[in-house]
Amino acid sequence: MLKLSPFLKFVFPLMLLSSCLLKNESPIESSSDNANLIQSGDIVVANTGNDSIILLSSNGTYKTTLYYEATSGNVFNALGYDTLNNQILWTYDHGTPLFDAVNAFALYDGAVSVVMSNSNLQGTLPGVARLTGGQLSVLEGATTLEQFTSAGVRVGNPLSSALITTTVDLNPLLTGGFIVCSNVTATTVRTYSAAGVLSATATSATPTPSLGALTATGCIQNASGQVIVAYSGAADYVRVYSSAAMTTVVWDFINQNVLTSPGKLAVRENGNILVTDTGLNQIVEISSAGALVQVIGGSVLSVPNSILVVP
Amino acid sequence: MKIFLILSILFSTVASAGSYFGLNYGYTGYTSDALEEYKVGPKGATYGGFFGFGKDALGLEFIYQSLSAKGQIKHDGEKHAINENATAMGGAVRLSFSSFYIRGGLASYQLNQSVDVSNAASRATAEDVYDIRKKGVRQNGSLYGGGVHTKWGSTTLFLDFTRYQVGNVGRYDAVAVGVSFPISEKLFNLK
Repeated sequence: MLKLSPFLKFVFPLMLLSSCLLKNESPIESSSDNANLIQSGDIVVANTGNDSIILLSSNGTYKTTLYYEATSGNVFNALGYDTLNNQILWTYDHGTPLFDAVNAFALYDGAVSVVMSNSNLQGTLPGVARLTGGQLSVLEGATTLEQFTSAGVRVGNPLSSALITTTVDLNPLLTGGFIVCSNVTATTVRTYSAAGVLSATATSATPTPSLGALTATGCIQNASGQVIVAYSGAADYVRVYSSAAMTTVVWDFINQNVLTSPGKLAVRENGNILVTDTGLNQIVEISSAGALVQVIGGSVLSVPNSILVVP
Repeated sequence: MKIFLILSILFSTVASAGSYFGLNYGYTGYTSDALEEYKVGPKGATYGGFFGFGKDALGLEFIYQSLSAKGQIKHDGEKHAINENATAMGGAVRLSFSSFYIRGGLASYQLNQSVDVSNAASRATAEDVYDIRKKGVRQNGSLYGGGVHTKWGSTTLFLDFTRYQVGNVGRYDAVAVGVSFPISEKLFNLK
């Protein structure tokens, strides 16, 4: 019979057992998207018709209602994505102005939290954006931009009170600034640095070709730097400019069968553009080359104004 | 009730015999279904002690064991630490033979698991993905294993392999070396 020395009697099992425990593998990456209610590619829409904010899957099918406002006089006007904290921003215009705030939905479960509540933040809040530098910018009333540092400290008094006439939308620019547009026909779209210094201006008439005197309903920049603007009036267009300088038009989209009352804009990861139609209660998807792709979300929308594609 | 009866019989059988205590220190690894899915293998140190009564080949032991394992996950594009700590308190029956032993029993585990993700939203999802049980969570389970031992004077040296099964949450596998000492009967003799 094989007899092991006391030393080997310990060493053999130790080597055998340790080899099982010491097995080392590189971890496989996990993503919050595996568990989140709100997932990358999903579409968030604010319905001003029935005072709800709903979540659609990327193909436009209904997933859930994130928020419903039962109290008359309390409204929400804007959506934005918070790249700093990975959450969905939305402005809350309360019937009591002091309660106006920027709120957020957690991606994990859609839970609502207050991101910014400040006594200076009062009135209609038609736009919200987390700039690439971390600042939280909020459109307030017709011409004002409030800005807060990533730590929540108010910048300026406010940052600007003469942005543009009757602002309707605000979005971040890749370079750190922001783009604002308005529902007047002069100085309709403007880009600014993060500090509020004007960079460029465009209208539906300039640069050429002119679309006539139209107002803007939404403006956004895509990942390749192009600026996209929804114009509304005698005719309704989605116009793409080559850059934030807005000196060159790339293409215009017009289709009166599907787009008669454009609202705000969002951009999918593949570059396709989504624009809400507040009259036909639907979302129109346009390819990055300017062709109609599809119409989605119709049955669950009620005056859809703001829209966001979750990055 | 049956378990209580069995333990009572065992206890009454061995209580009159010699008693002993032991200490161990070693290496442990933790795994669970969620960790296996993402090939995450936290590892670390374990230490503990036991107090037992024994007669012939049979022993009844009360066990305390601290288990600490740390690993790395990759979540939302970044690497983070995952901590899988637990303390086990339980009882086990030991069967000893000339050069080896086996033992098995029940244990209560106090868990303290976490992921070091600073962003609150990302941390919440990571905790969900990796089935994290936060500090203070208790879980009943079992422990079983065996080892080899050898006498060195009046003390016993042993090499132990034990699986600490934390219910359906996960399990620690531990390799430890240790030493146990007989407790003199004089210690309990009050005359």
